Amino acid sequence: MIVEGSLELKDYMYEMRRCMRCASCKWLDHIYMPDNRFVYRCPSYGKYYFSKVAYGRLKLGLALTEDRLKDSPGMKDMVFQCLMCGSCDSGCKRNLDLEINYSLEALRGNMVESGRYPKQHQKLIDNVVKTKNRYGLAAKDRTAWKPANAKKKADTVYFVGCGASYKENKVAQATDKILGKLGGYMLMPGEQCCGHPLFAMGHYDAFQKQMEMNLKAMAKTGAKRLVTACAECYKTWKVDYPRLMKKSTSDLPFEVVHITELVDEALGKGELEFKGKLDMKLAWHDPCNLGRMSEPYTHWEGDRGKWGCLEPSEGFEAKQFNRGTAGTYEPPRNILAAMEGVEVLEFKRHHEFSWCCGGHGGVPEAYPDLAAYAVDERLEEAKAVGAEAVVSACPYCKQQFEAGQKKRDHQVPVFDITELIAQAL
Amino acid sequence: MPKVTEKVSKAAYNALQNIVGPEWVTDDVAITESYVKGGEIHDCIYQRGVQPPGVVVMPNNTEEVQKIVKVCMRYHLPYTPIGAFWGVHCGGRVPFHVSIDLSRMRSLEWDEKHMVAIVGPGQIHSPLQAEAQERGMYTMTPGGGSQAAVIGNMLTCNYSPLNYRLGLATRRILGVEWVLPNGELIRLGSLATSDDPYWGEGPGPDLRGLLRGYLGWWGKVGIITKMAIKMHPLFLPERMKPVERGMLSTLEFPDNRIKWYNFRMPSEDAMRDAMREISRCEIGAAVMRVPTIWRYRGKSRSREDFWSKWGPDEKKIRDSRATSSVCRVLLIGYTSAEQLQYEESVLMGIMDEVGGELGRTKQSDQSWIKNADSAGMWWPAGGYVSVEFVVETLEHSFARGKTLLAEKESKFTPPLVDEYGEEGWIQMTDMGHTSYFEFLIQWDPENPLGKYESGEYKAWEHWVASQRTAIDHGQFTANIGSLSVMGLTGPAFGPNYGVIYDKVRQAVDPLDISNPPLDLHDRVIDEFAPKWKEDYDFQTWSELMHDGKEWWKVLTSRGIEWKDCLPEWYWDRDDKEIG
Amino acid sequence: MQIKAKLAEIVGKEYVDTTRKALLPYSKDHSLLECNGLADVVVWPDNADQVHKIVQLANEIKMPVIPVSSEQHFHGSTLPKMGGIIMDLKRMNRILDYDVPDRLVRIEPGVTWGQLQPELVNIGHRAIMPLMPLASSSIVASLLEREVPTNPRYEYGEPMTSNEVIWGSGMRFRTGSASVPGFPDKADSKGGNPEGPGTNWYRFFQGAEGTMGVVTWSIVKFEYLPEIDKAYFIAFDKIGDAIEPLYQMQRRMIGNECLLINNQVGALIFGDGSDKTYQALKRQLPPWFIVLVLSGPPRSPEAKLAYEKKALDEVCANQPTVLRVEESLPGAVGLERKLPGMLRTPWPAERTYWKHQLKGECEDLLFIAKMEQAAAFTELVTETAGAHGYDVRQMGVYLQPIEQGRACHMEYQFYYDPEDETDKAMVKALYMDAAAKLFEQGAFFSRPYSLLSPMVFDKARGYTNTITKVKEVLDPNYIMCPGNVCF
Repeated sequence: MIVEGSLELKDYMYEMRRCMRCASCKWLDHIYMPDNRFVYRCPSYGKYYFSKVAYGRLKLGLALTEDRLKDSPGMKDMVFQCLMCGSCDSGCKRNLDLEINYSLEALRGNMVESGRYPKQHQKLIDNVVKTKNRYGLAAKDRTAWKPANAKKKADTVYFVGCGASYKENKVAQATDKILGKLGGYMLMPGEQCCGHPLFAMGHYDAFQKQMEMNLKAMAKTGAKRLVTACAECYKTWKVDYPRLMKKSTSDLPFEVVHITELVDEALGKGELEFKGKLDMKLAWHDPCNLGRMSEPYTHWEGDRGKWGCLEPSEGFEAKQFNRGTAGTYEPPRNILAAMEGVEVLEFKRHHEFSWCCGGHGGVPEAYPDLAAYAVDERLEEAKAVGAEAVVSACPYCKQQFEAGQKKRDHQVPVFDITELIAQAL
Repeated sequence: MPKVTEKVSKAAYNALQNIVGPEWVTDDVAITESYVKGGEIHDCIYQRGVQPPGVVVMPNNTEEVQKIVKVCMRYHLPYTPIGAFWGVHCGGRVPFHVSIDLSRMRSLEWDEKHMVAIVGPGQIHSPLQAEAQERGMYTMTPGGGSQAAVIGNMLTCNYSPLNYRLGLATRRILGVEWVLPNGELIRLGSLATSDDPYWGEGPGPDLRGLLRGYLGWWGKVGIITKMAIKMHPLFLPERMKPVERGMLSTLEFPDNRIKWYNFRMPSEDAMRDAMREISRCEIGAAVMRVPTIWRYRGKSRSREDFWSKWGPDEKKIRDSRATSSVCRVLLIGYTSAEQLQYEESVLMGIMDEVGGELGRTKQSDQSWIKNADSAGMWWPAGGYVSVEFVVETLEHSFARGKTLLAEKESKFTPPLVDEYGEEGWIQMTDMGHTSYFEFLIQWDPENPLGKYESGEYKAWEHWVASQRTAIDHGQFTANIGSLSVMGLTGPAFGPNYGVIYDKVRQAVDPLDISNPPLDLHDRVIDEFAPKWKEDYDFQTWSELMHDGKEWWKVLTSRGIEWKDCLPEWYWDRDDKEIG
Repeated sequence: MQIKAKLAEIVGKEYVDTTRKALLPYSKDHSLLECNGLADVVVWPDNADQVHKIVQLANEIKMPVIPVSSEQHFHGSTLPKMGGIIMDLKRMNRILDYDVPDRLVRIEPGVTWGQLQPELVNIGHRAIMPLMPLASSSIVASLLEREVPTNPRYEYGEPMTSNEVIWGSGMRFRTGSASVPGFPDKADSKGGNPEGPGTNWYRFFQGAEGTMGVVTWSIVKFEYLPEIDKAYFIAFDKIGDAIEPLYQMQRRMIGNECLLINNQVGALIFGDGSDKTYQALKRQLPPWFIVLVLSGPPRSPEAKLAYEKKALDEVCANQPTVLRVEESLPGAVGLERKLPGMLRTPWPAERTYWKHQLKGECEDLLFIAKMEQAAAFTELVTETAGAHGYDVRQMGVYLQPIEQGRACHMEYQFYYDPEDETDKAMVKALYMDAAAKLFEQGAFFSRPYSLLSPMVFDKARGYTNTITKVKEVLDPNYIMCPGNVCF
């Protein structure tokens, strides 16, 4: 039986066998291929070549599952020199419709189970597990950013996340201001890390524990809505939690919303209005975890029948494929377009083809060269489209861009979209 | 000299590292493992026997390629050049071979005025097309897909409906820079005497003849490190706009310069007449007969969606077989919008006469210009392969279709998918002087049948038998190149083309190290991959070819005098391999 | 047994000749190449079996074979440079079969333009020709030599498809899709695909000047005969001014026959052979002009002409100085009506060939170039010719756009009196000098005949080495046309 989103490698034999190395996981969608400069969708391949891309990893996964390979000096790098950004998955679903993300996640899990993961990941894992934040900082400092508009009780919980709580305080403060204008919010008492780094690095048992604690905390608030301004938290709450619980996003007892969705809706209803003028050409960077990785999750169980067709088990309908196209793409664009004087530029690789900033999947910790390459490529792309500033909607993207800028001659301001919204209010 | 099946020695490995730098060579199995194609699709034929390499090396320029080849010669290491590794056929078959992955060599230069693109072997079609369109040019995206390497594809297949106007690939290959299997660097065409590659022929006899025939040699003749490609002037004032995303993404056509037409034809004769008349009147950019299954495939949004429609419609499809064929025509106003209007009026006149009924179609590039996603053909059944894809005349296309269908239905269906009498894809090439024919078969790899009953095995048998039927009927076939057992089919064509080809090739590859054992000469197989005969099921080959080398007896039994098939002078020759 | 007798056994004694009288005509052609001596024997085979046996015999006795299929020759390729057997294929002049639906015809090498073209016209079609070839010239030889057609519209593919060839080794072989067993009578294949089997064999004997083998039949494409034609002329004072319009016309695929010539070539091809007409034409024709023929296909021909003319007018209007598209040429009364037919009819056998009318002989300096190089090349050749004492007013220049203007065939014609050794020596010197300079400047001699072959093949060393390896397989005893190409 097939259980959607399984984390067992052996459950992806079909995917691993059916991958015929068409390289849709490597190249940008050909219809959207912009030029000869920005051709790849996979940062790992762009940096390392060989077969360090989904097709290579699936072949490796197959060999491991079939017990044809045991280990090799390069196996760990082969698996973990990957940002887990999901771009390959939307490429495959342009053509072969295989579950690439699930396969890669299961491959990571398989490696982690046998202790084969980069030692540089351990500190991050320990931080989350022990201190409940990715930085290993004190829990009491989580609200040091001084929330101004938080209420004790509200229908909306603002889940701040580690990045905005400890490092990118401006994001938290801006979100606080926005939510203040939108009827207020409450913080989750004793907020902890959502567990995203654990999931992205393949430590699913630890992640499960983190999830359970967070779900309990959320239940305790009695709130109907969880808002976040962090793309990673967003994906974790919206997709990974229901997936691990074998439920659908729509089955959650609360709504998971990204701040951009909320603001977009408010702008549409006239509940918010922007003032002032920015006069800037902004390139909008789709965070992987806001876009292609955060399509609503629909749990499914069934079997593969004749011709490989998926046949649902009783109680399930036809499988809903997540192909990357139904992520949160338009709200941030609508918001930026509503700001006077702002010209919104598209990167050459956008929407589900968006190039990862490099700050994901345990890569900055274990393979800083790949993280640096990825962000440099993106900044190069920003330059190529004539951007005067880069704006995103995830504290980790912002951190990545700012770190990447330091090594470049051509520097542009980097914003989180909440900062611009707060400014425009 | 070390035996070729031995693992790449430390000395050889070091030599490779010295050439490209240590980061661009690997023998790590976690990586080499993935230098096979997989997919259980082409495994049965085109990648039969493909094995992971012992070493992968990624050169960055011609000089490095040349040095690598020389190291391979020095250590007697068989090597396999790889462009995008989309064409599985080239995959290495010798254990521990050196895979020369050319993906880093993705250069793209232009001579816009003379419509020349100069590409490196790692370059693929979609960036080429994107840059071309910026410069007011275009080329053809082959059936293999945008992800196919430009050079690899030009050397092997490069077929699409746009061949109707643009001709076959070999005419579009211009100046070439070529590292021969013996390590020598040569330049073809105008590159032979200058640094400008805009012209392909000569000087004198044209060495492009060695690069490929109807089909290529899958890395058997060395490595092309640079190729100039003939481009064509774009007929549109601006770029076509991408619309939709995911599976639906496409390029939207402007309404006045490029347009598709689908006609439902009343009969095969009407189809034939229309295709010929369109060609004779020199209109159109593409003219084809589209198999019914393609229409279902085109409309489906998932595998499940496809089968929910295709299966139940069997009766409808069978009943309307004679009248269900669609003649699909692409018109382009190359000169002006008025040309499109003119051609449309001629086309409608022709269709009025033959009774073609105009249907609906989307006005966008579903393929051939920017994105021919042949990968998308995988999902309906999971397994598919082309048992034939050949250019000959239109009548030949119809005949070959009937021959292969009869063979398929009588012997191999099921497990091959029943396409309810479909005789294959036909498109006009070379302005209608010739026609391209493709016969695709599908099967269900999930169907738990025994090895010899499986779709995969039957596909293989069908493919081998297709070569016999070609010989029986005097039909041309794509399948007499690298992957056909030369000793069995070689004598029939030319005749005996395998004998002289082998001599010519040996002259440039004296050690036989360029992707052996391809071209499947016994001599090369015995040296490099003796196990191959088992992998490649020579026994089946022999049986399907009528008891090995005596296939010509079957011609006699079919009322065809073999002496008429191969002229008498042939049988008097000393260098014949059979008889 | 004497060679003559052996050959007589193969072809019959009336088709072998060793007399000086018979051999002499084969020792001269229209080129500047001097041939010191005669062939040993001339033989006129009737069919492929005989050709096959002759080549086998030649291998046995290691004697050169020089296949000849046209009546007159221009490039020294058929001169018996090392003696041997002249194999004159003029008896093999059968049109073997027509395949009208696919527009293909299978012909033997002795079939001439003058023979086939009228037959095709009779069935509503035409072969695509180079610029006014001799009626007695072999079509197969023309295509093997890659002579450039005046009509670039059909360059999407090869004009020749499958062939039968007897390699120099004595092996008989069929190329392309004619390689199937049973071809032509017991096969479904009609020989329409030039490629394969295995490799593209035909490319080895194209441009080979007979050094690889003897073609005994070829399948050649033909096209529809236009319902209507209309010729247009655009005049220029300088060649350079014609280039950009040509690029644009070709890119937009306007018209069929399209060429650029100077008044010297115009006066020779449009004249009636008399000096008076020649002089008048030379005086009145513009210095340079583009000839463009718009043709209407079988259906709605007028509509096609109309949109092409409109596009032509747009191109001409968009030049820095608006170009006038003329329907006639000064000095050439009624030419506009005759021209399309002229370009599709070979030069009549009864008339002195146009290139030879002026002084009796003509040497063509021909190569592939880019159109943008034409002005500079023409200046270079004019200067060089002038420096050698050639009257540059009598230099013929012909530019043939190829492949939508991607490249062009350039041809400079130098006329000389074959009886005047000084004149001849001067033309030879200027020819060599100009060729060397052009080569230096990037002209590509894709078929470097006789005098030019050392210059080209020495520079293309790697190419030469490899093509020699191919030669050693296909003609291991080097019996085919020794002295040609780089062999």
